[in-house]
Amino acid sequence: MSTAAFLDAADLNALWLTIKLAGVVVALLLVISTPLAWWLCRSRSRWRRPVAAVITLPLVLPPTVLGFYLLLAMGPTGPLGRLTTALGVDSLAFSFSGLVVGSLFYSLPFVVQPLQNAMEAVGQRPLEVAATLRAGPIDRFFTVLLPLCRSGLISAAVLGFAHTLGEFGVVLMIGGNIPGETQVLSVQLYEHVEALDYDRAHRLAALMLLISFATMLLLQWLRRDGRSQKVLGF
Amino acid sequence: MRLLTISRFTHIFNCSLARLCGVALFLLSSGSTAEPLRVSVASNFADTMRDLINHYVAAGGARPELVIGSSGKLYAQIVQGAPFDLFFSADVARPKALEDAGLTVVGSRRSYALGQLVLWPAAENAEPQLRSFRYRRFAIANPRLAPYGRAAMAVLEKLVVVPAGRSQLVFGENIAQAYQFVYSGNADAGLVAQSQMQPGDDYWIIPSDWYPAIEQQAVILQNSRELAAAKEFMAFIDSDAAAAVIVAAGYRQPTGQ
Repeated sequence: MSTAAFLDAADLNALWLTIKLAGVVVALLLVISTPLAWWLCRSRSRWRRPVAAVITLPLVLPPTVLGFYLLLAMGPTGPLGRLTTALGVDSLAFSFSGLVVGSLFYSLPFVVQPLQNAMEAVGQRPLEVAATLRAGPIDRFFTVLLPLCRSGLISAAVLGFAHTLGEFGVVLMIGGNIPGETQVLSVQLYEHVEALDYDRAHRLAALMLLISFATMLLLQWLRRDGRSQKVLGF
Repeated sequence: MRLLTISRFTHIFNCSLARLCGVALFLLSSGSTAEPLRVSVASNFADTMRDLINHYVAAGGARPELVIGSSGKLYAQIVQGAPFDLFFSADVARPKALEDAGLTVVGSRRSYALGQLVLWPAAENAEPQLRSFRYRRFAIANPRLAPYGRAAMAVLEKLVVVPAGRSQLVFGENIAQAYQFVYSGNADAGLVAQSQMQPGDDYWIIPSDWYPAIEQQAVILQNSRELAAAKEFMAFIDSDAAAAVIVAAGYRQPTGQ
């Protein structure tokens, strides 16, 4: 069976959309999470613990809870809805950008935690040494800390990507199942199951299993490389 | 002497074992008679079914247990041997499929309600409003999954709103989600079920000849362990008292079964 027949146009569309969503979300999350993880690592602020708790909340919160609140927040009377109206842009509900916003919350802990762990493992010492060699704070951050956190960065990117691929509850709540816009793989799979089209459901399910396995395998390989490098680095 | 004790011991052991088995059997059988009737019901009808059950209990019936889910999910569970006695679907196709597979009690399939589609929210001149279709976002249930979605699509196609207005449509996984999209203000309006409307809601009932009937059917399941009770409950559903509850909830009575 050729690939063209394995997935029809609608399913291929959903696959592409899902990869695009995960890619965009991971890129944004790495930018947001790196300073956030650094702050969590170093701050003595009394806000540190509450902020850390909020960031880890999506780990334990049912995604439908997040999706429900986001849906209400994106409505015309909700805070996000009023913000988009004030800015004169389209409402976030039922749009790709809405899914990106939802996924940022949903996948945040999966990116922040590996980064934070890596930064804690690096510790103060290499940065202090760099400071004695007259490296400025920004220089230290980019040329000392980030290279030492390489395996943490890789873990964060891979986990964030994989977790967004499998996102379901949030998308179901705020997506509206629009082909090419919000109809991602997991929602499409659910629709096939509900419509008793088990044949197409099987194909999507197998594909997602394969992608997830390949991603985790990749992570194991990259981590191994990362660790050996770190050992060499010290 | 030794032999005797052994045989005596085995005798005592056998007796107590028999007694124990008897007790266990008694517990099991009393457990199964105490087991309530399990009624699986499509989520759109769940509230009405709760009302119906309250009437049934008030009239002296034993309270059945409710299992709520989408028709498709319940169907899949029944095919896999779920321990339900009755199945109230939101459509005709699933009960029919179960009947064809020999999983229902022969002759038990009947229509119990006709769903009614409404435009919500709707102002005075609802019909021209719907025809002009000046909505940014308009919610309906997924036509591939939900009978209400199929009916809604038929209405929009009849009014020649679709395909032109297709980009304005958002799809709820079921009619409850279509309602939720409008309720939260994320969609301007939608075609939802009359049974979802609350007192004070402004809605317009879509003429019933604009869409294929949303016929909801029920069956008694073949593997019911409480057949007599299941038949008794089904007889109640066919009664005038139950029909009044169903109509008050926003459904029409199926005619000419």
